[in-house]
Amino acid sequence: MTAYIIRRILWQIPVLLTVGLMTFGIAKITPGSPFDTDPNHRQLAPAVEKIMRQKFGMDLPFWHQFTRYMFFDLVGNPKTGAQEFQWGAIGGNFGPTYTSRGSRTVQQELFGDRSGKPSRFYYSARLGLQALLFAVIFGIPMGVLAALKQNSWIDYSILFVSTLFASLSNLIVGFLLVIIFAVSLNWFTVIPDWSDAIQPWILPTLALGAVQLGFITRLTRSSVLEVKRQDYIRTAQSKGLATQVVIWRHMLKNALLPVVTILGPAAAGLITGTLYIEIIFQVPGMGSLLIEAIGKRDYSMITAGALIFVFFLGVANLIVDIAYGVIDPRISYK
Amino acid sequence: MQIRNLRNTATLVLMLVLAVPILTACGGAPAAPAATQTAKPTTAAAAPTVAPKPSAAPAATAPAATAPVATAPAATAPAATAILGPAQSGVLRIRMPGGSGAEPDNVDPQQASFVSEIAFIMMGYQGLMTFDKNMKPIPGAAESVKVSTDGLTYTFKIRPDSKYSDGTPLTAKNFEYAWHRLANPETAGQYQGLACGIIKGYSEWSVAACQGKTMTETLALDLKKLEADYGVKAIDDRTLQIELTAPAPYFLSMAALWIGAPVREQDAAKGSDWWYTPENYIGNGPFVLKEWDHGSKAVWEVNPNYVGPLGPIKLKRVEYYMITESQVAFQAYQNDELDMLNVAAEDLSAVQSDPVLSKQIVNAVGTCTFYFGFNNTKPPFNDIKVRQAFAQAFDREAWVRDIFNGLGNPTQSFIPPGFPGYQPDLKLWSFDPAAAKASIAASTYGSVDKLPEIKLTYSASVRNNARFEWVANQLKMNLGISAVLDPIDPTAYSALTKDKTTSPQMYYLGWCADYPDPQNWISLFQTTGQLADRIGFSNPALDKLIKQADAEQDAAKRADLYAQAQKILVEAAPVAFLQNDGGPWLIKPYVKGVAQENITPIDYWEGFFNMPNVDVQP
Repeated sequence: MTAYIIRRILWQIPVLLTVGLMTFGIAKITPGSPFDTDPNHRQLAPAVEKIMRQKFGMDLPFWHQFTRYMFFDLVGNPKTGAQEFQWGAIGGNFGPTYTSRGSRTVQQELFGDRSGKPSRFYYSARLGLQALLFAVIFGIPMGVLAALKQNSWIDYSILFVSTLFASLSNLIVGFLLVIIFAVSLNWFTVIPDWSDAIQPWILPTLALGAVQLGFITRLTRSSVLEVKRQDYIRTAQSKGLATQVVIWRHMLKNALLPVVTILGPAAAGLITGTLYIEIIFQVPGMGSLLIEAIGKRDYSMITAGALIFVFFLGVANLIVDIAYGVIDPRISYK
Repeated sequence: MQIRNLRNTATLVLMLVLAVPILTACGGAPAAPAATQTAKPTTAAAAPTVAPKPSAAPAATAPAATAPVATAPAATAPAATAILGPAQSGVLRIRMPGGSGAEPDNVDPQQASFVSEIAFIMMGYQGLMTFDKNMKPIPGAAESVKVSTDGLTYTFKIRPDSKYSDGTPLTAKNFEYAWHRLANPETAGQYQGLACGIIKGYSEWSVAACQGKTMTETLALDLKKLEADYGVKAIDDRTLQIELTAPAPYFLSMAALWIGAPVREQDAAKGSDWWYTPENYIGNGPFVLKEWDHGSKAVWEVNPNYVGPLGPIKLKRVEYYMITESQVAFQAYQNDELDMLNVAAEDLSAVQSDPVLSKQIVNAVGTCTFYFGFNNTKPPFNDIKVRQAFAQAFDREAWVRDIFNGLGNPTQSFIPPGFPGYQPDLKLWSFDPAAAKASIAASTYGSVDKLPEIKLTYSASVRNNARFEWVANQLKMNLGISAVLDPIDPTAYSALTKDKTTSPQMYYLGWCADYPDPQNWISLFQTTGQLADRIGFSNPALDKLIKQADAEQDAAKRADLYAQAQKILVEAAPVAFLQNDGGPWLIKPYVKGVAQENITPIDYWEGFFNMPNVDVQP
């Protein structure tokens, strides 16, 4: 098991390098640069642009820029001219952001505190985990209930609600919640007050969780239905086991495997920031920042976004694989 | 069988339920064209202050989803009695100014360059000068300014009781530091190029920005000596002297800009992102930054130590909210959580048709002029007659009405209304298809079918597609030209338009003022000017007039020279001027002092330069 985990972690390294190279490469190949701004305004003087390009190492060959970003490099200090050693992404340094004209680094923006307030990562991760928790806590019981009471009115109403949620997008749910609960009912404000520990989190969590809730409910329902018809369930029932034992020990344990599978990638996606919900509910999280970076060709931020997402995806998948072993005795890792 | 039926019924019900919000969204929209207009709220490259951002694209469906509320404000009007977020006396709550509503990326005065960044900086800082309601430069942190008779030496007297918001004294030394910091090659600010060749010794010291030297080459120079030769010096605690290389009457306007904001050395020394922490953001402006919840809001409280023409200030607090989605901001305004809001194009008809909201409209003029730039080096636009023909072939009224929902005003000259140098009667190229055809006939081409292929190159977006289809249609209808549409990626487009050798034959452009002086407009069209260079335009008579005007010290003579220059510019038609930006703001009736007659195009937020009269009294 330990050897398996170590092997999996080591596998992450080539994956991250490939993703880093591809993202960095694609970002650089894409026409335009961080210094191409709105053509309607005063353009950056060519001379100033030249200094900026030097400051960000954009005058170097591609492989050099990439190794500086990914690994390490000697970088000239603009004030003294001396060469100084500097770590790249593997040392946790994702470089300066272009939008801040190099005065802040990517890691400061994403993980650093925001002048005394929790980091952007905290907001994205907390919101994502809350949404996931909400979806799991309500989704799995609803799915099981629907499957056990198949073709009853309970089943139909749960199926109705979950299909409805699964078909909607975060964006629409988000706006509907704002309109219903903030504008019409006045239970919440449209502009969140983040100094309140609970209130501003409720609507975005619901909006983000609703779609996941729909998926999880439907998936749980169909996989419980499938397991329900298996021979071993019939055997368990016929040998006189209590219904509760059949459901909990024999049915659920097997039915939850597909659900656990989708939870991994869902978790990675949710905690690294979700664009629409962060924008509608003005959550100071990572998602909106990363998307803005693409439009502004903020190379360091774009690549960091991809690397961080892949990192969390790897971690989430690893946890899922370990969870498999726990849930399903047929699976063992060597 | 029964189950099958039931399922079918359930599916039907489900589809109906799903269809209802969609139907109401469509039905609720005022009219079909308006619904299509909502396609991309903030993307278009031509939106006056917003840099093209693909990020807005996924939000495309948002307006449709919220349309029902936009048209049913009667239901939301009672929000005035809301429990949460009512207006408070003396507190002004606005969306982050500067277009996209996003948080400014860098608010270091000597580095910043974008509208939102400037709107942030000027709350906390005040330059030597500021502007009055007529956009004339008046003393700000300075009490008075004396210009020597040769127009080369400016002597600013700092107000005697000047203090920073934390109570420490503000002296001429602080301004000396700030203006030195601006020129210092280490700063590498994006507006560093603005003062090149104007202040004595600036170009020599700021070699990177003004002469294109590399950092290594710069470090090899004797920077200490260059700084000593630089023309900005504090004579004593209250006197700052700035020497220029040549007379430049517009320098007074330049001295009112954010680039000369008196950043303190001890704050700037705290690291490259010193400005990120409110405790370091100590200035002499009308407000103090009390709280900055990055990505969410910035809270400003009135600066008790403020001296200057923007005071005495009635407001107690101003709150900036970072709301990037304009639909959300509109909801917040209707829910009484914002006191002022610029109306997005897609909300305009909903606002105008609403009995309550329509009374809260205040029309503002913008700082920008938009035009079709012709590449004067490429056929057929190297022929003046062809350019003039195109300038006459556009129905500008229809352009503003149909394409911009009536936001903005048609124009035929460069300097926009409200700015010094505006010439309302300079109308040479009114819409006239017959005259346009005659112009083509008088050109070297002789007739329309002999013209080379016309390609309309633009930054691709739903909104721009609609715009340029409209343009192609105008060319077809009015001149009989079949133009080819050529949409490309926004940032790539922006890179392409930087140089006349790569820039398209004909493309949509704009210019927005840095400071209110004709020099900031007309001079850009001299041969070496930023705008003339981009389209390869050169006119010796215009160059001569501009040179004369830029240095003329007699205000009336200077204004006259610029007026002549603008006339030559419009006649030569290197570009076809189309429209100025602008548009309605929604302002709650309890916000005092922000009305049509006391807002200016250069306000950082509407009413800024009328500050002493602005108040919130719900």
